[in-house]
Amino acid sequence: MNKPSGESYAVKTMAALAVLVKEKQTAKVREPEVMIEEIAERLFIQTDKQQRSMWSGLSYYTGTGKIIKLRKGVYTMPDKVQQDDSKQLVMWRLLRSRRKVTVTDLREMAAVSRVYASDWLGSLVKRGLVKYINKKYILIKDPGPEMPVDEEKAAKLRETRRLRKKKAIKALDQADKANKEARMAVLAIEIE
Amino acid sequence: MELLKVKPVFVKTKNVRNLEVLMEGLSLSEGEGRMGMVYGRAGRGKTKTAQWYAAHQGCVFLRCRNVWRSSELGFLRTLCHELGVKSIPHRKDPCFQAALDVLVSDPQPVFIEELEKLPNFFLELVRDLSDLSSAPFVIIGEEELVPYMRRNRRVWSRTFQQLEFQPIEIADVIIYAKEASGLAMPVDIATIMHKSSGGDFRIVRRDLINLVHIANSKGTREITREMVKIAVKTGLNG
Repeated sequence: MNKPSGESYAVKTMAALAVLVKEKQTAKVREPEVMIEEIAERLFIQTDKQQRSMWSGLSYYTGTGKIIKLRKGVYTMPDKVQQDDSKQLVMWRLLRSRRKVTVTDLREMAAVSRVYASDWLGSLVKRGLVKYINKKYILIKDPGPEMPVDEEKAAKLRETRRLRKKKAIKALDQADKANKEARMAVLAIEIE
Repeated sequence: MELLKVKPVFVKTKNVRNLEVLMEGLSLSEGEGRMGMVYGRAGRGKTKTAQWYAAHQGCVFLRCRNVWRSSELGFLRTLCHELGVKSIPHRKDPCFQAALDVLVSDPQPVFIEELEKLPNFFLELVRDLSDLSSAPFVIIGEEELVPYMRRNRRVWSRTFQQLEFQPIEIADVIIYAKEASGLAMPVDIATIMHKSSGGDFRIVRRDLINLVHIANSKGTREITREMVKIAVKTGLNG
């Protein structure tokens, strides 16, 4: 089977599954399982073509080991892939337990790169959770053990989904209209 | 020749491996009140190791504060916060119950540091939480922790696992040098570094950084006894 291209629903399927697994992990579900319906809902699957693309992606990535099929219609991701996505959670826990960290601390204790740690801490500074003082990042606002959601990013994602849904509904309305016109044309033929 | 660098790495020293074994032991005693104790002199890496473990395994880490001395409420409210309780009650008993509810449904390990600076009735509180939830509680402290725990016979009898953090060993120095800088350090040279550090990992790290600077300035990866002695002396002089 050919590797799915970057823009296909197959690749988006992999990304959606990763996000859903991560959400369930954050909610402290120890063995996160994701149903095919949850993935389809997250991706706003509307057409048969999109659904086939999603199935194709699941089949391909299951074959390569990047996705695990637990049983019919239920998937999860292997631990290694989950770990990549949960490095931020490890850094968040370290920041909370130590209250102040340096980039070096996170490189050492979370096994992340300098750039990754620096970018992540920088994003927390922008969001007002952390302050950078004397080469240290100090936690100034502690919302709790769950990773705080980036509200700005979440709002952008919601807006993107809203626009995609609007576009999909418009396409459905146009299809509906074309359908009605075709029906009228057929009925007209019969009358004659 | 590419310059040597000292990367920040978390090395699994003997102490770290022993902590992992302790946690494994506590997890195997499922269904009973489970308490563990990690103690040792300052500077042996107890806090850092516990924080590392807690971060990677999703455990609670809580440091006790002097301001809690007069009442358990501050401790209980902080514990609720760490357990992710959304509406934290303002009275002791509901707080205790809220924490217990979370621990019963998800008996995750709880690390508590510096409990010995609080009155003994805090230990009773921790014992109750551990007994009722079956969640493992690991108390971390310095040497004073041992008599503090011993004084409470009921707690001491529930302390299933104990670990004293020892000074680092020569093998730890060799592993650290290899993982942090790529240097293959012979035993005799590692012994010099180990001896001068007195088992303190922070001094080993300082001396390794000095050693790498010396090796880079000489353009070599072959470490000699003279280079190590200079590195150690540079560290002592500041």
